[in-house]
Amino acid sequence: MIIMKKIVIVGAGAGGGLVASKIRSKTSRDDVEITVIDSLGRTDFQPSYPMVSIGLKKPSEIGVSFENFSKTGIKPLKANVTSVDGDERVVRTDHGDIPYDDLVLSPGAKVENEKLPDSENVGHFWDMEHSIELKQKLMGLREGKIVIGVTSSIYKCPPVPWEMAMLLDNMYRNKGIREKIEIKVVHWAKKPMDMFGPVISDPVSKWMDEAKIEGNYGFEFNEIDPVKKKITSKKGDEEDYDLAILAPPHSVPDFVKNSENLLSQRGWLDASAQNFRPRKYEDIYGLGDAIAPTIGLGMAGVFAHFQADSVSSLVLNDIEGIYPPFAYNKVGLCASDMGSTGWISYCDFSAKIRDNSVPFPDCGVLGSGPLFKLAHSIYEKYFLGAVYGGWIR
Amino acid sequence: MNDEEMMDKLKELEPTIDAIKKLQESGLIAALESLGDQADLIINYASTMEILGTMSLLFRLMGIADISMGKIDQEELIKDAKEVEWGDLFKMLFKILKFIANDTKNIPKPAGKQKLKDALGELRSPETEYLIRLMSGISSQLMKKDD
Repeated sequence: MIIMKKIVIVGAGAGGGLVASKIRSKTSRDDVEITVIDSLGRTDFQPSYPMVSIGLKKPSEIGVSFENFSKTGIKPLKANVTSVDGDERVVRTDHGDIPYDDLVLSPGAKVENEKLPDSENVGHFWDMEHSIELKQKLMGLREGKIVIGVTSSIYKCPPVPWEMAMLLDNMYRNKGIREKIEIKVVHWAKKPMDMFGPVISDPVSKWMDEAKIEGNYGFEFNEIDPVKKKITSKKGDEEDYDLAILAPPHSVPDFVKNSENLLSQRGWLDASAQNFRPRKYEDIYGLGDAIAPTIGLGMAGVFAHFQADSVSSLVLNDIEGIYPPFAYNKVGLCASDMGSTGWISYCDFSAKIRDNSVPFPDCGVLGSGPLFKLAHSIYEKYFLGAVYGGWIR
Repeated sequence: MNDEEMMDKLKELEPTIDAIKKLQESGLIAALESLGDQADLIINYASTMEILGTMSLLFRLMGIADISMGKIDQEELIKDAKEVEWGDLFKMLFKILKFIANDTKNIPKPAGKQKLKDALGELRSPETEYLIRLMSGISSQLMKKDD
């Protein structure tokens, strides 16, 4: 009798969603049962959140219900994971226990919304619901100062504060009120996109200057006063605002935090950049934003995408024994739509992953111009189509 | 969608279906299918620093090509290019490449003024004579007045 293998995947995003679809496409439904557990019950193309917040995209265009997994023979389970028992091979959720043979953890980072004040002058675009709320706030603003910043050193999509600044610049220019709106990026980096080195930082700095987008750099966020509409840095610098767009603190999901065996020394999901396994278990794989700080990367879907190529091959190798593992490609591509123009940049993070003291990755710019805007939209459709085997409309 | 709507839709798609059938018969669909089997890895395979760096350079060169091509009499370029003995040109280029790769490092840098006797010796060599004739030919072309 052939025993059906059980693959459980936590997270239906860029990492988990792609792993699920890749394993499904290479295995029979009679031999392998795949369950995807996700608390949101949806896959969003997160790089398009800024576009939702300025009304360029509708939520339905960039988010797909993970019920669509059923059409491809994957079991979707909307639930919160409470713990993982690696010794008993069970994922415990608020909807029951799910046993596994192989477990893939791609839960993403927890965006701690509660740490930002609930104020009409504060918002963000680091999840769908807040992106929709931010749209109302941005549409209502006819004059004043918008501050875009981050509250922690780690947040999803490191280039996005500057991308958002460019999108807002373009939006308010098109509305004819740009001169009444001040846009300022407040960030711990020393200059725009400094973390990617001068190849990226220099042209972006030039664009910021040309668009008259100001910057307060070296600003490490300390606190926000929603009454005085002021944010303060750790050094005591103050920045006032009429609308503050701030990335909330990002942290490791609770079920990882509470499991010593899954936690890395850096306090995130433990995984090796070679085989994506935590030190303790051979049948658990981690990928995506939750492992990014562990292996010395920023949080971005493109990393999860290429990690998914490797992790799915490793899981298939576990199941079938002969499937060749796919080497992890540490090159990251970023296709940005910045309103009037687009650009594609790329970086090789191999050296940075090997040695975290390397100041920045080896980067290049493929090109910029209106034609490059298409790359963002094409990748959006490609990604959602690839996760759901084309079952999206 | 009911049966009638489905039939109407299929009727609208008849030319498209015919076209796809032709592609299938030609074997092109089978070739696309093999591409589809690996399609999920295309972005991964294409994301190497070599490919991306080359594409980046090509995009940048496009800008220069655009500027320079605007100044070129394209008819003259094509006419002259057709007259070139490309086989001979490439033979010459390969010889130059070979020399650059192997021998440039062996040419001693002049330490000072050459002695007259040595200078005369080099000047009278067949190599210098050939170079002078080559340069003289190019120079004579450059001195011709534009039509």
